[in-house]
Amino acid sequence: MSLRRKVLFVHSRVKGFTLIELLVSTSIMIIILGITLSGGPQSIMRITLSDNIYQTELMIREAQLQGSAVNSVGGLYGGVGVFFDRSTSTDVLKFRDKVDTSVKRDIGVGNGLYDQGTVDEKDFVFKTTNNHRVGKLCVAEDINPFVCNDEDPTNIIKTLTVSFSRPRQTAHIYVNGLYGVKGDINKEYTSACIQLDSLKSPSPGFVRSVVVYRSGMVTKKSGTCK
Amino acid sequence: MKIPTKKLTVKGFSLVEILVVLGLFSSIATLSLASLFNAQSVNKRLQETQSILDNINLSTQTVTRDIRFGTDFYATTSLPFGDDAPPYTRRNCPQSSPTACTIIIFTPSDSKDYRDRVAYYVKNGILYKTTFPYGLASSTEQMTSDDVAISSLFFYLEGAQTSLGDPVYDDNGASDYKQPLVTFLLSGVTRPSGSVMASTTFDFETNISPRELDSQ
Repeated sequence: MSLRRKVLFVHSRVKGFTLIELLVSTSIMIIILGITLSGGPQSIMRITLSDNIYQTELMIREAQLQGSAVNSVGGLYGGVGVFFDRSTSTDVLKFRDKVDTSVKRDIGVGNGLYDQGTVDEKDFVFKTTNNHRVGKLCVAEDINPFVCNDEDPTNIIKTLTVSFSRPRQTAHIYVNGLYGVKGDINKEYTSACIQLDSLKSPSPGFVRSVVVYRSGMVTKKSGTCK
Repeated sequence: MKIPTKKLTVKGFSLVEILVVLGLFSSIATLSLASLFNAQSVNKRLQETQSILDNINLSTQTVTRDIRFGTDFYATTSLPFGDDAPPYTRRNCPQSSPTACTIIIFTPSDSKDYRDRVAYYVKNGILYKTTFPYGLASSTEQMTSDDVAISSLFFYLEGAQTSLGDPVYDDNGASDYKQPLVTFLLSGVTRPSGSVMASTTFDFETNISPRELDSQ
């Protein structure tokens, strides 16, 4: 009886955690937390980038829908387009083209470009979030690979306009406000690519792009334009 | 009497017990989270497939529309593409023909010359449209995106020629009183980017007849 009492007494004295036990458990907790939280900013970056690319794609699709819609008849506007400028690389701008009254046609047509003159054609601006921006603007002729930004010294891409007008769903691609390849009206660009990347970390996981084909097809790409 | 109260003082979990419980709990949590991530990737794949099918829809619509407004149809199995101008004549390709036709050539509605031609064909799993403006360089554009592999494309064409089988437009040709009818068959596989999961196959078939009455 006395022995059991003694044992129980000893046991009751060690009740609770010792300092070492507490240290071990808190350090394990800290390690687990550290591992879990270290991927946080990266995954947020990835999510916001895919959100931005989704918004850009949506904007182009919206322009296509509105540009080829019936309510553009009757002189309201002659098409809708999306405008990208490398000097304002966080902006994705949608515009409603003003009807060019010098062209006599049943369907009101605009010049296909974003004009900021007496009437600002701006309709909506989507600002890219979380330090993502339009990193590259690329165009392609025929089925050739994309040529981006400054890669062709004879054709430095400063602005890119993709516009849609009735009655077709086809996309018209303008570089620096010129119709056709380097201003040649008999040749049109067959596709354009808009690459979004992050200012903070330009590692491969943080680049996504949207491709617009002349046929009116819009697709997302997980990676660079090329 | 006193023993139970003494026992109560030693009640509580030991460190080992807590570690075991935490370990079990975390392994179960990991398993259930894995299935959650799987659901996310399934959702992503569904979205991609949706976008791909949207694009297929658009390109087939464009082809259908172009054929509906086109004239002088010529169906064939192979062509010397390049700078060579395609034929300006007409050629049927009935379903009874031994080899199915894979290329269709016609004059588009926005042509400036009757010799302006457009060709639709598949090369390396991609549907292409080549425009041959008369006297100018041809240009090719992609009609389906890289996310889609077109495995086969067939055109059957009836009623384009005269009943005498005359391929050249000629007022003397006996009319067959038939409006050209194009049967368009397309099948392919989606290949979502960065996905190792199985692709989705699709098959598409439609009959198209031009809107304008054919004089032959």
